[in-house]
Amino acid sequence: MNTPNTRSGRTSAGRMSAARLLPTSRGWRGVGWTGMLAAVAVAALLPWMLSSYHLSEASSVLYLSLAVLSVNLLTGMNGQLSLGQAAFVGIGAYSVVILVGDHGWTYPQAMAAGAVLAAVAGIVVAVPALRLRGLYVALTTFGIGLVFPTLLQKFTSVTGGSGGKSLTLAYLPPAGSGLDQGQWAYLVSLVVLVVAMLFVHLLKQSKTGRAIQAVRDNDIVAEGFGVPLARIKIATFALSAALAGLAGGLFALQRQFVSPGDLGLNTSIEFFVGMAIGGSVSVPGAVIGGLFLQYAPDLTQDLGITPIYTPAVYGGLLILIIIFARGGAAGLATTISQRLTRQPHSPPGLTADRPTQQDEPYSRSGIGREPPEEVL
Amino acid sequence: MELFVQRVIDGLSTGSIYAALALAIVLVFRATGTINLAQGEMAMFCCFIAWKLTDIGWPIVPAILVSMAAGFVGGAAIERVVVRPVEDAKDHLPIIIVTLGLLLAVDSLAGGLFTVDTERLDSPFPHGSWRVGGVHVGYDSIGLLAVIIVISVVIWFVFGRTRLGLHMRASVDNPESARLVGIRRSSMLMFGWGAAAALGALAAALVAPQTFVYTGMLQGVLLYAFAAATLGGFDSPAGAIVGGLAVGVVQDLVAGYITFIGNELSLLTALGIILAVLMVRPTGLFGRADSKRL
Amino acid sequence: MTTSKRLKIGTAVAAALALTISLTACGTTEKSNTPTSSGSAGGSAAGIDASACPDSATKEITGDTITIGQSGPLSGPYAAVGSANKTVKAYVDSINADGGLQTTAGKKKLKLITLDDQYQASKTQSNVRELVEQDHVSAIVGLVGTANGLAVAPYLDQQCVPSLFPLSGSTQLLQYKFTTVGQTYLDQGAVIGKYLKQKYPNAKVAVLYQNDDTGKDSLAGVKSQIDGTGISIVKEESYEPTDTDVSAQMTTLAATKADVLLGFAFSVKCTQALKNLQATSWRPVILTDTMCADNDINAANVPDIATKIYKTDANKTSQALYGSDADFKKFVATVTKEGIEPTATPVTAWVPFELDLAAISNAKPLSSVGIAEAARSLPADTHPGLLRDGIQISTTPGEPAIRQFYMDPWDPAAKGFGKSTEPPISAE
Repeated sequence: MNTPNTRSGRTSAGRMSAARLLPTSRGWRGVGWTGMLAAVAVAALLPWMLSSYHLSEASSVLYLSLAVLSVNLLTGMNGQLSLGQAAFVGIGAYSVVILVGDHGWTYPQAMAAGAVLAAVAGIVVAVPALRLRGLYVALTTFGIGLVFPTLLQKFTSVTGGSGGKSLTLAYLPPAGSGLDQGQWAYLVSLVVLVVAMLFVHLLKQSKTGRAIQAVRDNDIVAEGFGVPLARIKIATFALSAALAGLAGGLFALQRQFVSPGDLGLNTSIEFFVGMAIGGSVSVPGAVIGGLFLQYAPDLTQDLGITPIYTPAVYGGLLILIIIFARGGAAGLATTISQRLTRQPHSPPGLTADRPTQQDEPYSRSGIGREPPEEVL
Repeated sequence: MELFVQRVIDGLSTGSIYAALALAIVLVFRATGTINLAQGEMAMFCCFIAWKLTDIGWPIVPAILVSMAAGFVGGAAIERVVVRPVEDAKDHLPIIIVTLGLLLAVDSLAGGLFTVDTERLDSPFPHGSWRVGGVHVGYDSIGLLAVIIVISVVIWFVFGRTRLGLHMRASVDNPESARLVGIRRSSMLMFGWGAAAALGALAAALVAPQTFVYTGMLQGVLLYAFAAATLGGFDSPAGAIVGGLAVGVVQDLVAGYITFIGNELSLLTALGIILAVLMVRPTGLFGRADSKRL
Repeated sequence: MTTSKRLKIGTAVAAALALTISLTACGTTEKSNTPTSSGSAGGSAAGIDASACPDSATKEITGDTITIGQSGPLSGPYAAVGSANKTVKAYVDSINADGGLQTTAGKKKLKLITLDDQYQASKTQSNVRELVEQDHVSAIVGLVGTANGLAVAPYLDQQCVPSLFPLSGSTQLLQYKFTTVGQTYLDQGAVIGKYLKQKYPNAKVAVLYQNDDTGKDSLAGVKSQIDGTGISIVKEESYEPTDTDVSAQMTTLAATKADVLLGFAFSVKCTQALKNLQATSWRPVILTDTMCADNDINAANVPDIATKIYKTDANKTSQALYGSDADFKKFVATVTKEGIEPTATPVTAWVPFELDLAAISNAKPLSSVGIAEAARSLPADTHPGLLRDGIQISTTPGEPAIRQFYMDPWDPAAKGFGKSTEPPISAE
């Protein structure tokens, strides 16, 4: 990877002064971590800063972000197109509602079981997907997204069918903590999300993470270099499904109700949109995706757009992002910071009509491939 | 016995609907090398145009023809404006994502611009059914099957025996060489998307007498159509027809004779067909063996 | 520290955290949080114990406006049903234009807030929370969907805000004190069952039903009545809303040559079923419920069968039959002003809203709790304008309000269902 910092001496005068004011690339990393810690601290204080209604919205952002993170992992980092993620979320959610409601399990046990069941389902899907090319994986997961609600309605006695299933037992805060149920649900969700984000971030930087991304970029070459393709793809699918299952568990914890209508193809596509908006390889981008999914519908209504056109706005946004800003919000932030601190890293003219390999998320050369210096 | 025959006929009838949409999917694949997840929605949109025209008094056949023309223009425009910027001969995943966005957008636009209610569209074929012994088959089903067989032959002919088809195939199989020889890949792609959209419009109009016209009219069909295309081979028009009919018949017979699956899990059956085919014979029944672009 | 080491440490930390949380007693206690306001003993005659209700729910509404909220599918695959929400808005506009609603605390204007939930229960939950906690609505009206209604019922019981007559026919909603139900599919099925006993006491019956609670409840209602009689159900075929058509099911049912077909199929599927039926040689009597409307049958174009279709109905739905009825005229005028066609769906939204208005008018005191109690026990003479004459509202708390239905015959000449010449059948 380039370290264009060394070229900063060759920038124009104007850019040089800007470059000197801003941190070096390594410094950015420091800023990034401090920023992250500050964000987590603020998030942890929200239960005492927000009304219970706004806190419940923030709680939704948390499980939505976790679901988007799971899509980031599978599609952004590993290149396997997942258009049926709502199925794994659903497995986690129904596990909690059924195990806690009907079988007396505790919430943490049920959430763990949900994650494991989702992971098993992920493995079941991943094994056939091994032999398929991208197009067919997309098609298969598309099919899963469509089929999952019908499976729920097949086993109505267990799942409650189309009317959904209520969970009357709440996950109560520890006695004497002074928290109410909503605050507790928020904090539990926050902890789960932060741990998951940390894990995925560390994974990304590790050898395994690089292998995962290598499989996305060029699996034939990766295999030639000794990357165990099958194991990596299956493991990533399982991990992504587990994260989605956890998101489903949080969904059940917060809402105490689950129904097939929430877990259809539209929901899977929405997670996808969230991934695209936040930045498909960016871990913090998942939160941006979650924020978008929670607040964008209100925004469109406030903007005066007739509700019937809300999905068109989503679809239009997805298209625009793919065409113009494939890295999503994180990619945009990176590009802006790169422009401010140093020259563009490829000489102009050579690649006049096509972006460079490094800037080409979603392509064979990388869905949301990591920009040279990760800002966030 | 009579029941069995009727079930097979029902399956062929429903299967023709799957085959019709599958043909459009196959056409996009043949012409551009990618799949369009929004094929059903685009077809539905054009069907609404046909409906709108009949609503203001047009006869059915001209209305369908105009909707097909609108589909052609729309499909070509979508290719130029929305698909072209992410076009990459080697990698189709960005295009698939764009078609996802189209799926949402076109569905929503149809509801907003036309209506969210359900409307009727007349059939260009005569009313009623043909009765033989104890079994019956609707005239519009027979008509649909006849039309899609004809279209399938036309597609096979164009791709296999004409210069245009040769150019289109070259653009997909060997883009660099095609460009060197002077084939304008961009035009071929626009034509491919346009033709597929027009075909989708025709398919939607012909199934509308059975499914009626509403924004979700082809949503239920989409997965079955993909199963049909997978079974038949994504690059084979004949395969789309055989695949569609097979999926329809299998679905009916499974629903009728295997009560555990019954009607409730027929979508699962379709998914199962897709997976089974991809595992055992990824190129499908009639697909070509060298599908390395996949 | 290398990243792989960091990863290992990170994993260890994560695992430790997870273990700690699950093994220690850290907040793992669960208790039932069924709201105390639905306790059995004590409370008013309507069965509501308001002692645990927040003050905002028991406080009388001051000012000249009552704020109400609704959440429904204004976009997405079920946007067609959103016309119900538009109907409610049209009705509210017309009331305000006439000066407002008369209540026990004087004439009040209505302020209606409508939110989109795309038929997803999670979005309904968010919307209802917003309506209750941000907009401080006194009542929720016009919720669409069974899952949607069930998702918010416990919360509304806790907040003591009523969900007035949501658009759902599910009996599961009846257990909640603050949710009232207009009519259920279970009751419609029971009425059909009684009709079968009356008219076709030894019939063989085949059933087509939608595989969700609407279809299943209808079937269960029928079965509850014909158990132990000479009537036997020889075949049940279900279909999924995602199915392309119902030809397979109809073929199977036609093979039974049963005397009666029960068609619990919704709109397009109803039309398809009839078309398929026409193509076979089977000619049963067809009994259906409100899932199948006039234009569904007209669209099927089935001359052979059209004389033998009967349908449960409690409302005035047909322009032809009730065009000169004063209430129906008012309905048509109100909805067409907002661009809504006066078909069956707006009627199914209009009648519950009339019940909502009755609850608000009769609420004493005029507070959320007061409205909820009034809804649970409406005065016996309450009669929505679009409810047919001869049908009595049920005033028992915890039961649906409308439990009597006519069995109307299809009139091919009029291209619509005619008026039954017999008295309504009660599901009770």
